[in-house]
Amino acid sequence: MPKSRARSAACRSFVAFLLVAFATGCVSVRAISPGGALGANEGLLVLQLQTDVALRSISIEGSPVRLDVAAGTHLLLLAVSAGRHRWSHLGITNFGNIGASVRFPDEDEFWFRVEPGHINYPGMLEVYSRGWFYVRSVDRSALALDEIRSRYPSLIERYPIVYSGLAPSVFLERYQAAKSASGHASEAGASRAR
Amino acid sequence: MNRSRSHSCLAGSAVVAVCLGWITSPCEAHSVWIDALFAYPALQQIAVNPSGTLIAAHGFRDDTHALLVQAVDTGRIETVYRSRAETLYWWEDDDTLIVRDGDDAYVAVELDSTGGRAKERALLVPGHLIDALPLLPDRVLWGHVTSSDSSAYQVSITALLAGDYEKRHRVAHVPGQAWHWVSDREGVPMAVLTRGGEGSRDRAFHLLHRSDPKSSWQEVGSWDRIDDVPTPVGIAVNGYDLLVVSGKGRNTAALREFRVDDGELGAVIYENAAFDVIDVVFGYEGSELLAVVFEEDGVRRYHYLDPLDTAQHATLDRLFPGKVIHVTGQTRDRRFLTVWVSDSRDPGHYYFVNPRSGRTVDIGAVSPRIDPASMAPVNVIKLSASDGQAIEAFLALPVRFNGKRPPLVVMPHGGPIGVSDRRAFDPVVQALATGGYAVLQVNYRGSGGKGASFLEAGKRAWGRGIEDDIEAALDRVLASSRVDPERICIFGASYGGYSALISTTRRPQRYRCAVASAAPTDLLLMFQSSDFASTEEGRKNFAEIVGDPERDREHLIGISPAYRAQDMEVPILLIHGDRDVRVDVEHAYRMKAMLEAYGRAPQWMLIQEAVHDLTRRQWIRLMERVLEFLDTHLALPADRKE
Repeated sequence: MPKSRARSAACRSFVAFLLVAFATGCVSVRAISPGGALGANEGLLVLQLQTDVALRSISIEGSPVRLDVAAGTHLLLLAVSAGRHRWSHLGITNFGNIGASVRFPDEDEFWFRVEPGHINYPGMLEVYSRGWFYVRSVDRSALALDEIRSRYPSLIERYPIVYSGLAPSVFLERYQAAKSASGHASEAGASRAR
Repeated sequence: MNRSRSHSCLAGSAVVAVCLGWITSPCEAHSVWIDALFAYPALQQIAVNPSGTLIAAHGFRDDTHALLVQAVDTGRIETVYRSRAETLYWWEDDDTLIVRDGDDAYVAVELDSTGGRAKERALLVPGHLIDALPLLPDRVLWGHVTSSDSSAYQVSITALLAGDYEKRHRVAHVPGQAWHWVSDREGVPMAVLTRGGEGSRDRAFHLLHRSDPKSSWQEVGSWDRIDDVPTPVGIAVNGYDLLVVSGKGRNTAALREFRVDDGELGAVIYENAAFDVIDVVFGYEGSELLAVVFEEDGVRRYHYLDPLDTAQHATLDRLFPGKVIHVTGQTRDRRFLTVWVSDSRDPGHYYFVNPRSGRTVDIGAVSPRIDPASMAPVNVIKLSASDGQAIEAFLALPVRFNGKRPPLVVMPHGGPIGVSDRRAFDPVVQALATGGYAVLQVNYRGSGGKGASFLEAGKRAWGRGIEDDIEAALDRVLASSRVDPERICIFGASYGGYSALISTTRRPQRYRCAVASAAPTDLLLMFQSSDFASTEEGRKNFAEIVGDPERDREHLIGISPAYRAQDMEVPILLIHGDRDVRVDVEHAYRMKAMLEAYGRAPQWMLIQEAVHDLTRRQWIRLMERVLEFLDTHLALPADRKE
């Protein structure tokens, strides 16, 4: 994957360890409510996080999204402009009492594409601290789907969900095909995990 | 049988004497008997000290794990150490026990002459116990491994307590990480199997040897794969060559000599044409090989190398007819033994035995709440699969059940490669049988202990050859008319869960329901998220077992249960631990989502804080749910008169 294609000069100015400072956005990002709707040339991006530290924010190519989440597992949907993007920075809530921004490693796994009019799942970000901060992207699309169906039933009814990460995953594609083939299985009627 | 009752039992007084046989029927609450079946053993790990004056045991009393010591002459029992979890222990000498309580945390427990605790001291030094050297008083073999080298120290407990083991105590130092040391009669390592050591990229296994303690180490063999390594287990009779377990050049793993001069395998000490040697037994004299162990008909068998030991075991067979007998310890003079006597219905008893006189002392029951008479007998079935492959299966038949014939639960084991079911007491099997279900277990192709060709036959046989074997065993059982052919479900964990799911697509009419616990449901996902796929070596090994994720991609998708959901027409219960790193919980969510997409929502049980292997407490919850599910789907139809 070409790493430099979507990176603007503004984005490159970020350093590995930058104290509470967000750059001008390189991409349009906004949180969306369960009943919200997409704008033109926007897609929904699934932000699925598992973290052992509290996080203040996450940035896509320098455009920050406020999180303010504790350690644990979290999922939210963002409305993001279509195109190929990458996770760029994580805002750590407590680091030496002041917080910090940590740059994502320059790896392919943190790139994703956003298709307009779709729910785009790029993988779960696992963040853990062992003296320093580590992050990796793992495919837990069914886990995300389960939660989206529960918390965002109207959005999952309205928009098809697609996998937009790097893993050779066929799950969401097969899931959509199964739903179409069976016809009767509406998302709203699906059971939530007990 | 001449059993003396002059000694009190280590376990007998510690438990409420509610035997399972008195309280169970298929109609009663499952939780009562499941709790008893999965309870911690009241006694385990029994071993006698070298002179035969004290017997130690790991016990479970008052919800606490304890190390118990019984004086043989008085029968007095003392609790000498308490812990929050199960511990391991070794006799260091006649009156000192070394207890491993947690990872690399050791405690020395010194006893008085009556077996009471005199002193307890933590060994606050880095490293691990290699050998307690019970015949060398106040000496242990202590190991220390770094990322680049390994050392062994022959050191006193006193020195370890003082945190003072030094270079002068060191009796061996080799490059790489030591996996297994082989010592001479003096407790000095003469051979070692290591990994790495020749540069940071070295991942090979090396067998190192020296001819005497002052010689330098020589590499006598090197292998890239653990499967190819001859496992060193001792020193040969000539005091120079090694004894190894190896399957090289033959179908089954044999006990052989390994010539250190040319690095080649030598004379065969013991081989069995049908079964692998899976273990060896040594006496207190470290290098004194007593027996080799293999498994036949699901039972551990001992082949003794000395005629005296063979005669001794024949005596034990007469004392405990029809039972499986494990010698768990012996005195230095070999006049007295501690033995564990069990079978598939009986978790067992421990005895102190004088094999010459035939006198036995009942030390105590492993699980006093269980009455073996109410447990299901387990029978061996031998058959040939459709391609002629010889297969072994076990059928447990419940003592009590509803209907003329019991309903059946087919229970494939996990693995699938190198793992096997045994005909030993199994709480899962007995929980199902106590609930009124017959249980069929199958050592399908790929199962361990039966030679290389059988093992190889199971590779890349997921959803095909393995399930052919399971179905052949099922057909044999149905032909015998011992179970109700209309009431069959399939239940398994890990690979067994995979097998349960895929089997419902192969024979949709055969099974009334399926239970899959910790099951891989998307085989491509295994290459991304499993802990054993976290290295290139692990992914390569897994590809050999299931198929290549790129070359065989479509095939792997085709045999993934998640993508066969449209063919699954029976009720399914999915169970998974949310902390499972072997088979990520994502597998269960994928299966669930696909079934729901086809309008067939499964039953669902997510076990919080559970990894791939469940705790006893988690097993109890799982079995309660499984039995509830089976009772629903295998109930005798109301319109069927029996």
